Amino acid sequence: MAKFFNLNHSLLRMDWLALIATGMLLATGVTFIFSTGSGGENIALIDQQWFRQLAFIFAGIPVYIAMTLVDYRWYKDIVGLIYGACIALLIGVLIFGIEINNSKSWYDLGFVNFQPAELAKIGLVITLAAYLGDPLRNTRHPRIIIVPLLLTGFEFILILKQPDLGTAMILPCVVMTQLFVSGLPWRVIGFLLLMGVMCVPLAWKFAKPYQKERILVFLNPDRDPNGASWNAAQSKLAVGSGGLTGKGIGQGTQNILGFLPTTVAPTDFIFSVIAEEKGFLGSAYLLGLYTLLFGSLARTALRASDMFGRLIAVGILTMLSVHVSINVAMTIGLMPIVGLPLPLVSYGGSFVVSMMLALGLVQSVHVRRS
Amino acid sequence: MKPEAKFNRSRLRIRIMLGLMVSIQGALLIFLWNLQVVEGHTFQETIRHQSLRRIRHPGSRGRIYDRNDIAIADNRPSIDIALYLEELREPGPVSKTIDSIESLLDDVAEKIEIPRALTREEIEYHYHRKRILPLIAWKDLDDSALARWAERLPPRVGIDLATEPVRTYPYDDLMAQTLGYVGRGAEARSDEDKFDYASVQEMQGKAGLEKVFDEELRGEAGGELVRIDVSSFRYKQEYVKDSIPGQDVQLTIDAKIQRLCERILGEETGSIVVMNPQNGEVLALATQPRFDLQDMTPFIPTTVWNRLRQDPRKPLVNRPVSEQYPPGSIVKPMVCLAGLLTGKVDPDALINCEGVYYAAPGASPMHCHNRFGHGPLNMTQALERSCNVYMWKLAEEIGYSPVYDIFSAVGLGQKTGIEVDYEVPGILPTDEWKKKHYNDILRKGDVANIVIGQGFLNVTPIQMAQMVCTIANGGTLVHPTLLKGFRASEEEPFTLSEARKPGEDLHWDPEAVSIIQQGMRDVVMSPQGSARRAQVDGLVYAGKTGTAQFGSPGNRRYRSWMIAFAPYENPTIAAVVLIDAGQGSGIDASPRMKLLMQALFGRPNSG
Repeated sequence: MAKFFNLNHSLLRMDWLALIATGMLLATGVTFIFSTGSGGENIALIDQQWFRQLAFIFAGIPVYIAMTLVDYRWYKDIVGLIYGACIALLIGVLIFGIEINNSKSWYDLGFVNFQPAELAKIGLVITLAAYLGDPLRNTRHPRIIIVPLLLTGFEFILILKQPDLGTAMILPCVVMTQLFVSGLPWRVIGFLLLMGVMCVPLAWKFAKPYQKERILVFLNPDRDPNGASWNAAQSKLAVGSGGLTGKGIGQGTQNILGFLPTTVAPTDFIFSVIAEEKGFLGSAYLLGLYTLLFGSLARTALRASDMFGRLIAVGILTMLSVHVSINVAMTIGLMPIVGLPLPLVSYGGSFVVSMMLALGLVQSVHVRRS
Repeated sequence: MKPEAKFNRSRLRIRIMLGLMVSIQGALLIFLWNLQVVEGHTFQETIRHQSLRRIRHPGSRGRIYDRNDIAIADNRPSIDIALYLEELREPGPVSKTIDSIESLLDDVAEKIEIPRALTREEIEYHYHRKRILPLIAWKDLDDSALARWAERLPPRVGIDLATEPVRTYPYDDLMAQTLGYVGRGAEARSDEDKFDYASVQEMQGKAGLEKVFDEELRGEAGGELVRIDVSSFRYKQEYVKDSIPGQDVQLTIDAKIQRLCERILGEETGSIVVMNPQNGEVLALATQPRFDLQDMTPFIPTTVWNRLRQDPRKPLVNRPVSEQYPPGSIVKPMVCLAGLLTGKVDPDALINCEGVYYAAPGASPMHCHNRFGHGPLNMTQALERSCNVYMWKLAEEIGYSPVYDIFSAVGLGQKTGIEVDYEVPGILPTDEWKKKHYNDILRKGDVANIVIGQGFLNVTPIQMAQMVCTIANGGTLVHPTLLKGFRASEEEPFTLSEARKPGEDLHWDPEAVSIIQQGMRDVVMSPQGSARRAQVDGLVYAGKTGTAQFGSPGNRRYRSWMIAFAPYENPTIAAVVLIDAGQGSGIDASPRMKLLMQALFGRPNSG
């Protein structure tokens, strides 16, 4: 077993670029959650969303540091346990979970609701990295895809069962990039992508009516029996009206006048709030920070001392980048609405902590680079 | 390939992947540039006009008709002044918005010359809880207020006229307890669904048939989402959802007979039920005292409510179904029929009434109302004169069980199932019942009381009407019903309700029933009949009177009953009159039955 703590790799070897980008994204998030002001003036500080978010970030800092200090190579030894725990959590939530907005995705921990799928994504990244990163395995043979697809598929189905389509969609992207980086031949990659496309009609058949509705609304915005395109239209309007420099923090009329529903403004639609209040410059600043973070994660992947660490960085990078791209694309009307928050920025306690955990994991790879 | 080589090869693929990710970000940025900077001004323009108003189109509530298509519950429009709080929001603290709404209201109040009714607390409550719903500031404006509104107030954002349907009861107190009234329904809470407000019911049945048939009567509200500019001009309709009107209900009630019965009751506390003995349709379900339904809508003022609640005469109670009383002698025909159906009793055999009876040796004496005794009587004579001793001796002969069976068969001790809330089942005593309440079994004295309609036996007027129907039609138990049918719109005919239960044949011996019917005919038609005062020229009909006494010996009061069916041959009407707290049977119930029969069957006056 690898050493639990290896003090040769001190915190000073951390990826400072990633740390700075992460910190700035978190700070931006708290600022604009404050700006959505859904707390109102008569609500106790502890119940104000911006304050709760800040509290969770502070709770996330020790998690981030601990993840950096723990040698990631140790996870290879307990990978069965990690994957098993993820599956247990996902099955458990279907039985003991509480239902919010028709999805049984949450454990009620009293002070916060915890979404096990967030951890399961990270667990899958580690599991697949351990399998594909094994130097004795021939990752160029098409046969290699079988086990990763099964491992992914199992989690995928459990998350879809909640149902949480948005989170589930992240998993296939993670397995694809990890297979790609492990050296799977292009033709197999092509074959998998083709299979993915062919699954679309099948997915349509199993989609829930509200999911179909969102897609139909996206394809035809005039179709609006239940107001499904309301958020989408209002969000696009908010972003568009931001102009070059925006209306100023707390001045977004879409936001303060409540055309953006108050429950989604600080979560899935935080990007529209930022884009309205800080304009194109704000959007560019935010996407710039993400690109910086992506670059630094890719750098960690390049410099990693082994294939296991490299694939971990690739997996987390994919997870983050898919989240960001889908969230931004849906808030500006380029994609149907799927409930995916913006990592590190959107309001949500368990999501922000699990994202910090994931980034700490990559730092652990970074400090043990070759 | 060696692991080393594989490790190095993967660097290229990581760079390809990163390249893809960065280009996606780049593409998003280019799109954002186009959306925010190039097209930004068009969105800003739209947003300036972004005053979306949600307008509610309430689904009109169905009307309630009598059997002759007279609307007895209807709708009329009320013109209100509505505030749209979403449009009146001001940036900054909420108190700023409330201040500006208050000053707006004060200004309007001055211009239309009607004082403002909304308090600051009400505005705040509405703002926090029900912002998406219009806040009605003034209701039911009259013409002069409307004229002042139009003349003195220029159109402005956030305030406008709105029309709202209001329930109206054209016949005021007609069948008030049965018809019931409506009130404001539960309200939407979420502000996420932009049409959530459409689910609010401004009219929800709160009592009586309005409540029982609420599901059918209620409409489904629709709405409209319109963009308006600063002068309230609607320049674009974003979305419309049609409202769905509720179904109309037709009742079996004949409003004319209902009104007639209510007039006959006059100021006397009591009930009159009129039914069709062939099919169980209730033609009138009258009671006194009543209340004015117009006072109950659109909401019940506290003063009215308290007055009704505290009135000792209990005007809110629907007496024909919700009050139970001892029936007195009107159950005697059933006791005789029970005897005939056992086969042990000969209707022609004479039983001697000495005016007094002992239920058991040594028991206290029970008296007939003729203290000196009726002498020897056969069954029809016993019914005609309402002799107690005859019933007691007959019951002694046959026992309680056949009496219980026939009472139970015609529905005593059970709810009739008529479509009205708060029906009570009455009491048909059994050994178990007495055990539960008095820890004793039914004694001979109890049975003696039951067979003359006293003691523990309790019935409702609607049960008595059901019983009369069964005698009148020769032994078919019909189920009292108020519902004729529904229709979805005025263009369609009413479709008969499928819920109606068919009558049940009780398999009574026709000869036995006919003896009872004859006895009841003699009650009215014979010169010695106890209801001879109820005779109507040119009409042969049958009936039975009854009295039950209550109150302390110093203040003895009587409940006076009369049941009847008419005409004697092929009856079309079964009726029950009950006067509560009257002064003796011949005096109160039978003249009222006479008035009813006269109005329904009497020869028209030649003059």
